[in-house]
Amino acid sequence: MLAAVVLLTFMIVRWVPGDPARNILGLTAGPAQVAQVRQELGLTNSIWQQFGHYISGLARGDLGRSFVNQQPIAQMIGQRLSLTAELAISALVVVLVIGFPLGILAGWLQHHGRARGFGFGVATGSSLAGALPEYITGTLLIFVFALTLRVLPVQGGPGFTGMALPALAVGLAPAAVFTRLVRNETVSVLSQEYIATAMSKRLPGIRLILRHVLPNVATSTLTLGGLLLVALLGGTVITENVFNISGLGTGIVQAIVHDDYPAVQGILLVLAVIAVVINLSVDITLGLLDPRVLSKRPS
Amino acid sequence: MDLGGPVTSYNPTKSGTFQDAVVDWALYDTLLNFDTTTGKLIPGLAKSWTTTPASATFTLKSGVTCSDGTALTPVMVAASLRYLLNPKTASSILNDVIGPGNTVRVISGPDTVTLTLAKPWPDLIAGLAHPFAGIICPSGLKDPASMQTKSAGTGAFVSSSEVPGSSYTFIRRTDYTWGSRYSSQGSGSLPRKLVLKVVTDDNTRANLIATNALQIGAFASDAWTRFKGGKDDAVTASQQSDTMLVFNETRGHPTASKAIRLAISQAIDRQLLNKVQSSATGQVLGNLSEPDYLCYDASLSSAIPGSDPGAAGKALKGVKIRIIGTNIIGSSGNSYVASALQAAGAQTSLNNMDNEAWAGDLFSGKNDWDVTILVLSNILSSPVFAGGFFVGPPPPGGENLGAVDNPAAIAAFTTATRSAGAAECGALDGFQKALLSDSDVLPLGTVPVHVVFAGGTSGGVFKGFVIPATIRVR
Repeated sequence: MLAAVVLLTFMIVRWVPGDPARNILGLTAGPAQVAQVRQELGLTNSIWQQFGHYISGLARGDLGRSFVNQQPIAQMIGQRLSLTAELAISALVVVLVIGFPLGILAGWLQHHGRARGFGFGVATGSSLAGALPEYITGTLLIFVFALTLRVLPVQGGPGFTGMALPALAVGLAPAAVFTRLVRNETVSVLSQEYIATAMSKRLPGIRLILRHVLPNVATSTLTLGGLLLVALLGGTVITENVFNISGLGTGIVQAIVHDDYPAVQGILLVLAVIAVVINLSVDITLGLLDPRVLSKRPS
Repeated sequence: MDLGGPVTSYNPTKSGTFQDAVVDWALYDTLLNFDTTTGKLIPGLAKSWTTTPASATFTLKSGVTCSDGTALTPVMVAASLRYLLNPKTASSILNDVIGPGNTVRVISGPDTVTLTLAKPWPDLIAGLAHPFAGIICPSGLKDPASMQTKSAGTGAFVSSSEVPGSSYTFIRRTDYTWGSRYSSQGSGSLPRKLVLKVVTDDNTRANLIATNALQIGAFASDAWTRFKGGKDDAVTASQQSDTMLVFNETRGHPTASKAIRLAISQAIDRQLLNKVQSSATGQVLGNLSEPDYLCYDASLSSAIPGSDPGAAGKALKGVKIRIIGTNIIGSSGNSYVASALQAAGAQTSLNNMDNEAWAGDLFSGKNDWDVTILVLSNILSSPVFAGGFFVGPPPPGGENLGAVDNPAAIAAFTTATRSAGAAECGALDGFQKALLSDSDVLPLGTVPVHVVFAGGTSGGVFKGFVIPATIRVR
């Protein structure tokens, strides 16, 4: 899987039109200067030599140096990864904090046939929010909170104030999807026999939800949560550009625009590794929480 | 203030981009500078200079020191120039400064530096005012790789810290007294700290300025209009690039025929194009130059064919024309060209690309285009610089983008590059007349950049670039 990523990213960046050396020197440089820089960058070697060089570097844990500013790619990723991770995790918090309470409440009310207006509101609101792409949410948030109310900055960055708007921009749409999922799960859990039993024991509502509903809803939604985190990483690429955050997202856009092959390869590889690790850890966690997933016995 | 993208290096000889130019201007001094108002050459590290067609002698100011405290001597300046002009250094401006295939000898005197060229070249002194010709101090020359993160110049600022691709922080030099005297200079003091923040999106840039997170920003789009007439905001418009229509005259292309090139020129309404491209904030060009360029001759515009859609329609009916364009100035100008040719009956295809892909395609020699709008930032204010794209070998071996083969133009260009003064200007006139009358190029218009100065800042702008040494804070 990762081998395919390595090969594909290596090939794709070279299919993108443009000449890195011409890029660095600008329109006015003479052909001799361009040729010299191309040689300095190792682009005069055959594509297989370049690939071999890249692979042998990878084996030593060396991602190479940026074509644009000669910075080691590993160092560049190190500088940018923390911001992207902070954004993705803040967005996940947004998803969980909105999704669980709202979803369970909506499911609870729906099950008991109460407050139909609220359920309708959640359904409509989440459909709308779920349909909005990050860049529109981000622009709207900037307009309201940064330009009109002036309570949060336009520029995203580390810390609560810097991350609040970007995290909402990334997290709102997935939160809407997640809310609906939690609601549906809640409704189906609530119609199980053991819940009817628990209710017949006259357990208080809150206790019932925390002890019996939440854990069951959580296991079934966790798989999606893991996938959501991977999707959130994708959302950060766009949102970072809207909020001018110098994370991996702006990094990869910059790298693609400037034909910075090593940077594109490095960032894509790191993102792929993160996606694989998240998926794997979701599977393992699921196994630990719910023995049925790992055991071969039919339940 | 803002930058449009990541910085390549603090080594001026490795520079190639607009943002590199701004950084080099902040950290390094050049022998001469362009005045931000008149565009004329003014003293920089050199207090005076004399020239012949094949040489230039600069008398240096005294009391100049490098950022590490070393006193700058003529020997050091000569060493820096030798490094810049050595082909092995692969500076992107080598050909612009000394001419293609030329060689140079640099000699230092007690307080002078003299450059002698093997063959004459008219842009030598203008070339040395280019920011990429910034004079590098010995510490940088000894270890050029160190300039990746540490400046080694005599400029108004010194590099302090950086987050590559995101922000670059420079500190003012308190002992900087030898800087150029620009004819218009705002009041206040040079900022103690200059943070250059990479902002790629014009709307983000405007939002940052509106919330006081950024004081100086340069806009290519019309997002600057949000600050028009603002109480604390001043907007300076500055023509950054010149655009011209270039034809691919390689055999087999429809544009190899003069009749077709003339018809394409007639199909295009240059006034309308200027409106579409820059909301009429640019100027329609009368030749390869703007009015403040060397040897500007307004009468040349009479050699440009007027708009005549009727005549164009007869020649262009059914002709297949492939247009490529760069998005660096937006895509509306390219789209206008495509629609104007279509209206004249041609079958056009338009391929808008990002600037990197477009430049790569033009210089690749693949010849998969017939017509393109060439966008040039002519920092040297030189018709010779622009003319270089119409003579010599075609890509990939040269810079003659459209493989133009115009003997009269070549002869005049060669004369121009070997002479000076009135003779040079006369030859440049002849060169441009030859190109225009053969429809080898159609001058279009300039593309402006609007720089917003907010929060009590002011500064000089040259060709769309804010010159950091001219920034003042009240």
